[in-house]
Amino acid sequence: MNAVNYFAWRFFAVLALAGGMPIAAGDVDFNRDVRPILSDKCYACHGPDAKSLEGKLRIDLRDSATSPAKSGDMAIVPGHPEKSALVERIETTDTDEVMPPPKSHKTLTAEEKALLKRWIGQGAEYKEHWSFVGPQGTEPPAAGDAAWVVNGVDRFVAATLSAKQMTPSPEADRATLIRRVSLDLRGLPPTIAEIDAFTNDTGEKAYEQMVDRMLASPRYGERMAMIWLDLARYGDTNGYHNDSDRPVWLWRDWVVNAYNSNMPFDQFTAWQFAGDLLPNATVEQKIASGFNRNVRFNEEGGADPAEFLTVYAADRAITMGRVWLGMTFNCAQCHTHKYDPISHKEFYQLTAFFNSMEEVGAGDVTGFHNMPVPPVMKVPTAKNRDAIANVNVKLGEAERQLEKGIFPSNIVGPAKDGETLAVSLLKQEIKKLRDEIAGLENDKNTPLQMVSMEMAQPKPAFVLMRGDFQTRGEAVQRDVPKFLPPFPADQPRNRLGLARWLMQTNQPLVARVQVNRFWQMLFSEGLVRSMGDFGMQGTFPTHPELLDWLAVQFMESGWDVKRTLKLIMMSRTYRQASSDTRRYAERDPQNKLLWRAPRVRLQAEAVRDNALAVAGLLSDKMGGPPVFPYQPSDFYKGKNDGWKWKLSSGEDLYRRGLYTFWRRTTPYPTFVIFDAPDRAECTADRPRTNTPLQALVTLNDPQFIEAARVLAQRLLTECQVDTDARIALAYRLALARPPMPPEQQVMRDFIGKQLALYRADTNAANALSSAGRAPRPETLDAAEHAAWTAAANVILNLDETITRN
Amino acid sequence: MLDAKTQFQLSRRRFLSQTATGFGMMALADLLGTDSIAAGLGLQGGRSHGVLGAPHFAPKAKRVIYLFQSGGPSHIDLFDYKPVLNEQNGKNVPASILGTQRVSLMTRDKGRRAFGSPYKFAQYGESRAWVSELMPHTASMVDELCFIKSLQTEPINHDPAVTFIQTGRAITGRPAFGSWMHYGLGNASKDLPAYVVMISGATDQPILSRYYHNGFLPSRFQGVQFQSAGDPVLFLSNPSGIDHQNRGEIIGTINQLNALQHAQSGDPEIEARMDSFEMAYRMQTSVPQLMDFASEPKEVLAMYGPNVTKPGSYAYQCLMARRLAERDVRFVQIFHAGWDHHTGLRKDMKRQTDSCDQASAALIKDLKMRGMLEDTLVVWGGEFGRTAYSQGDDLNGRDHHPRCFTIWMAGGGIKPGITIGATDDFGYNVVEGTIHVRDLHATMLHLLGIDHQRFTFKNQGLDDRLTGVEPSRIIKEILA
Repeated sequence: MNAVNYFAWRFFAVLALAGGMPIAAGDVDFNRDVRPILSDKCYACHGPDAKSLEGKLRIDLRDSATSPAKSGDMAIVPGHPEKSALVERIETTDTDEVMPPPKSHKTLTAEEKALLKRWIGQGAEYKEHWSFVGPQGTEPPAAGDAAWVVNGVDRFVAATLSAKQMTPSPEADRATLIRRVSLDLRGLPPTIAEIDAFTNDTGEKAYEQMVDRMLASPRYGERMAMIWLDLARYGDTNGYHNDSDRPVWLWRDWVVNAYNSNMPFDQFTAWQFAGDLLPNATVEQKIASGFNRNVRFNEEGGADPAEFLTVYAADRAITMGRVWLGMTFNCAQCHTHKYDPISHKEFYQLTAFFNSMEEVGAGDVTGFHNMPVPPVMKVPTAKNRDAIANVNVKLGEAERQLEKGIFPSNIVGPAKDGETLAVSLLKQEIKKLRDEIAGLENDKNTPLQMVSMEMAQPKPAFVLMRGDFQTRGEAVQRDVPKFLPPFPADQPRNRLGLARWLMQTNQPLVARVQVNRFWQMLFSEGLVRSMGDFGMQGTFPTHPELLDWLAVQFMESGWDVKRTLKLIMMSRTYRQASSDTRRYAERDPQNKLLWRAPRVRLQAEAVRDNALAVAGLLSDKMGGPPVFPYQPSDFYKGKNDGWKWKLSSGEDLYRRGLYTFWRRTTPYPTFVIFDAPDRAECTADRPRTNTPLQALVTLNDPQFIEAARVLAQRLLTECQVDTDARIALAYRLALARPPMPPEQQVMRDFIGKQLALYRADTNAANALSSAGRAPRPETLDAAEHAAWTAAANVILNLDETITRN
Repeated sequence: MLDAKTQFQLSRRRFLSQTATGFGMMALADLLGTDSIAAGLGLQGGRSHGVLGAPHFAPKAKRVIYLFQSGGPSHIDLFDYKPVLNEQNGKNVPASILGTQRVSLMTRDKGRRAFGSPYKFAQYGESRAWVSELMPHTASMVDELCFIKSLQTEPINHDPAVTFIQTGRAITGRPAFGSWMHYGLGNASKDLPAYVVMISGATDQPILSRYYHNGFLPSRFQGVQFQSAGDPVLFLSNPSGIDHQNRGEIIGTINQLNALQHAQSGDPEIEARMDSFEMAYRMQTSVPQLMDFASEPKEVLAMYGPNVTKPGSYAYQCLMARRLAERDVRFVQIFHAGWDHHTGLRKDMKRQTDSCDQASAALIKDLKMRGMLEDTLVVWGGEFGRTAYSQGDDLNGRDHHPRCFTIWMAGGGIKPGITIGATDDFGYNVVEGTIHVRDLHATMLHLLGIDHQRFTFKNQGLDDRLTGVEPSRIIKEILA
């Protein structure tokens, strides 16, 4: 290959790599091909924001773009690129004339220019932005091999694959499948018994039943909460400055339970937005409303309450926009959105729904870590609640007796103060019962929960110029953005009405955004890859019809989360192998067309949970106050805030990461190193990096060393056969599969060397075999235990161990 | 080459969708067959090129050492000499001076008694720069320094103000300067992180990890805090019972098994993970070497002062900053807390200046002796200044003051021995040459060879940049 050809070849390879597959003439699609260019390169000055509009030309509106300007020129003359001023301006070399102008630091590639010309040549057809039009329940195409296709998901995927003459990967083996499903739905590896049951089950419904079992596991709710807590910006502290603790874990437990009981998503939404506003709100509903209180709270002495009240209200609107609508509302906080149809005023109309909650704006109300930020609800424990209920029954009976004058006939005595003895005794009894209830209710160990409470009268709301709380613009009323369905006339203009509006089935975005999140959970990327942005600057879906079909399925199922997950997981698409990443690596390196299952590094919490579970150390205790697992003892030294990590003991050292105390200004370092956000605000998508600092965690974090030590004793005590059998057990525990012969050989050699090493060094053997606090059987030989601890350290550090295949 | 190649692979997916000029640049780099641009994103430790490939123009500074003085040092008691304020001590500050500036809630609706500085000032060096008696060592170095007396910021409370000067905005979620720099220029060190943070000082204002966070950039660009106690890098030490040699044995075995998997699946992520493990192993050697001051001559140690051997002290961290700079770490930032003197100023100011004056000056001298000052930019300053009036009636404290404060810069393309900007007789308003925090950022990037207007990252649809969309300028008058 000569140099020129080589470079040409590389160039086209790179083109394909970027997904820039050449588009055939006559095939230009406004939403897919044209708008992304116009939006990115033109809309900032020729788009919705009137304040930055140049030359009165709006390129986002066809009427404006095709109307003659003062000069008589038309930006776009449909069908005639040669007459269109737009084409002239993007092609000129005159730096005063060229668009985009040099000061924008934006340029159009030759390909983009050609595309725009072709689009104008084909009539310059505009379409409404795809995600603002409700999903159409298009029937799946009759595509795909009948033997391969299981459901609609596969038909859509097969259609796009076959259009490119590509084929899906074969089905993953059983071991891979059960580990995948288990990690996806529970965030934990399968047990040996579960692997055996599934791999030996020859029934036709073996796979489906396995999925059902995982969906029914209480671990499922914990796994789903791991995702929701990022979105809901859950943290156990106030998040600014002194960052005092706050009582919100009852809300976290409510989320876990809601997922486990498969609460429909519309109800899940309404309770969180407005549980407190529901008629005769229950304790659970009020706890759910703690969602709104997950905003941070500024306890800095000099902070201005008026400022932070506006910050909290805005944060709620932004979170709603990101989580339910997949839109970047925060851009409209200071000015009208540059790309999407959200005006500055509309942002504050939406914010107005959230500005009238009973809350403190800022200041030292916590007495440096001592007091929760009101309003806070006392929630008696289940035990106390039962006791209160019992006493209440007795109290009711006593009060009824008093009212009706029914007294036990055997109480006879002198009347006093005009009361018979029976009456006075009964009154004493009532007082005692009331005191008992008060005592139970005020038990100092009664958990607290920050909740939402609405003021009797809504506060006035204003546009804030440039987002500044001191610079008020016009007064605004509560309303929803005009690009979405109107606010229903029969609903109250409050958080409850807003939640109901959001869950109307005519909403174009809500169901799509949610199913996209389910898709990401199972495929590592969404069908729309910009998880938090379905607007103009977001990415176009890889499979738009599939996204819509799933959205419709989700709504029609009554917002049934488990059903929708199962629908996707039953597909052949989901069940594909991930083991060959090379087949179409050149043509589709990002696997946009879904020709294989992804390999995905586990989420931060799951990296730790998985190691503990493989070792048999993981506690299955659910819920309750957050816990404090091992953390470097000097970690807070020098952080200058005097806050202390209150190391847990016993079982609480080994709880799931979900329950680890989340200090927002200094989150748990092991999680941060694995890309966990600080949860200061809503996070729609965690990045997934791969760094040496991560290697140091899994190699040396005392928690991982202890897990290796305990895994080693598990191998030594549960398997008495021989080295090979122990290696096989380790592989099955960590990877659900037996080792391949070369792997077996590497491990065998390694263990041989380690045994010799630790037999020669008793001190090292003793030290390593006693790492951590978990109990250790005295009978184990220290050298053997240490050698196997090193082996377990190897196993727990394999790429595959922290990867879902 | 290997690092660059694997980073290219590992970061390709996000790189393509997020970089400002992603596709075009990637194609170009591939065509050229070099690792210069395609390398894209750097590891935390592990030499790599930044997204910019080469800087926009020849840089004056290769690295930055930022001595951040957290809490808001009083410009009035350190560098901004105000004889009129001293004369007016105890009287009310005139309304014409106070104007309509926003004040902190801690002193809103309270008295406004002028609080003259209790410290003596003198002029030093050929540059005749004013320095108070609290900073004798800094005073001896003024001819190397450039003072900006007219810096302005926007927020009035610590958390947003530190966030502002660190990230260019008061709202959270944006990358710190060091993260931007790592993203743009990559990592020049083969076995250390590109952005290292150290924390010292008194316990008054907390230092949040958010202050040195990657924001919307990928998380590998976050600052790596060197712990002041225990392992400097988290989990660097092997557990008791595994020595360095056996750790090598274990990592070798892990990577042998990973290689078998890679042979099967071909997933480049596995290769990247193998590199991460090798890098972790190299860091286990390089970081302890970095921490070992045994090779430092006695006179160098003496220059930094008696605390230089105490890990966690500011002096120790200043010497560490020089050692990190020598090892090509691009951005070293010390957060030195303890400047929030609402009360007890007369006592705490002395404590605070004693803890940092000598070592700050020593760092400049040391860099100069080694010929490193010319391409190392050093910045000394906090998040805001303090009020001319007393907080409380006892004339012993000052509240936050964002509308003017003093910082100094040195080395790396900065004109030495000058002072720019001036405040009024009370040190309350800028009267000459306002410099905004955004100007400071634009200028720092300029010194690093980066045009702040062309250095962007696609965030929520916007081509976001450190200096945002508000106007900002290069402070030409301080360039050498």
